[in-house]
Amino acid sequence: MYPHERSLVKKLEGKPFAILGINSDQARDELKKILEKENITWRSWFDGGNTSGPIATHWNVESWPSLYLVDHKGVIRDKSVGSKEMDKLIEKLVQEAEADAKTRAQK
Amino acid sequence: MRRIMLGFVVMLAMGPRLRADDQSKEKPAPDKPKTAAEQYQALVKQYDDSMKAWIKTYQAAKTDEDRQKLFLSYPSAKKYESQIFELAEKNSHDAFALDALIWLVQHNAANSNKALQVIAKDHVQDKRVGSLAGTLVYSMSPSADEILRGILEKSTDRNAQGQACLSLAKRMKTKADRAQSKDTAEAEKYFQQTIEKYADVKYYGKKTLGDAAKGALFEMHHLGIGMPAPDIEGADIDNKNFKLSDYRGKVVLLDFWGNW
Repeated sequence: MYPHERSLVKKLEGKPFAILGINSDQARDELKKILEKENITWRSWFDGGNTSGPIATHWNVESWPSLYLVDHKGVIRDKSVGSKEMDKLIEKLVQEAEADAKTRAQK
Repeated sequence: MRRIMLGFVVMLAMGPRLRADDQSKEKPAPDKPKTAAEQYQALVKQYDDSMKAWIKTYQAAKTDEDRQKLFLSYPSAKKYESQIFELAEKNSHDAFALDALIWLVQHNAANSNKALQVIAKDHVQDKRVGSLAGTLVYSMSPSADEILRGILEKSTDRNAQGQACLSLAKRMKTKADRAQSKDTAEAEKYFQQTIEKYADVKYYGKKTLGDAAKGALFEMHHLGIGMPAPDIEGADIDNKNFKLSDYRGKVVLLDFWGNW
C-alpha cells in the first residue's frame, strides 16, 4: 500500500489531488514513528485508537484497508481495495477537476 | 521335519506377540479408539497436533526464505476429510456427526459442499449450526442460501437465527453488487428483519447484529458510487481538527488504514 500511495502522491504533485487517511491504530506516538519510517506525507484523521472508531463506524468499514475515491465536487466515484482501474480513474477525475477550475477562472 | 516346521511357525507367530507384550510393559500403548465419536476426536487431535508442531517450526524459523519454504508443508485437512465424512455419514444420528460436518466446512475441505448438503437436510434446527452462519457469508456453495434460510425459519436458537438473517442479507447484497444490479430489495428485507427481530444479538467485539445491519443499510443508502460523500470532521495525528470538505476542488482518495 505505502509504496503505491507514495508513487501516486509523487506523480500527482501540484495537481488537485490528495490522499487522506482514516487511521485505526492505537497510539499517536507509535503512529508518528511509522509516518516517519514509511515516509507517509499525507494527512490522517486519528480515529479513536481502534477499528470501531467513529469515522470507520459511520462509513461501515469492516475490512482494512478500504478505499473510497471522492471527486472534486465531493461525490463518491469509486470504492474498492485499490486497483489499476482505480489509478486510471484518479487521473481522469484530476483532469475533470482541472478542467472545471479552468472554466470557473474564465468566468 | 514336519514337527520342526510346526515349531518354527509357532515361534514366528509368538514372536511379535512376545515383543508387543514386552513393549506394553514398558510403555502402555494408548487404548484404540472405540466409538465413532472417539475416532473422530482422534482424527481431529492428529490434525491439531500437526498444526501445533508446524506453528512451532514456523516460529523457530530464522529467515524469510525458511518461512516461505515451510508453507509447502503447511498441515492440510485433506488427509482426514474423507475419513471424517464417512464417520459422520455412517453415524448420522450420533451427536458428534454434526460437529464433524461443521469441522469439514470450517476447514474448507474438498467435500465441504457435501457436508453442507447433509447439514441442510438434517441439522438446521440444531443450535451448533449457528456458528456456521457467519462463515457462510462468502461461501460459494450452492447450499449456503438454503442452509441460512433453513436456520432462519426452523432454528429454535435466536442467536443462530439472527446470524443467519444477517448473513443472508449480506449475501443478497453481494449478489446484487456482483450483477451491478440496483435491485437490492431482498438484501434490504433481510437487513430490516435483522434490525426488527435480532438487533440486540451479539455480532463481534462490541457490535450487535443491529449495529451491523444499520451500518450496511446506511452504506447502501449513503455511501454508494454517485452519492455525495458524508463530510468527515475530526482531529489529525497532531490533534489538529480538519474536514473532508476542506478539500473540495480536489480529488480525494480516502484510505481507511492501520499499520498492523
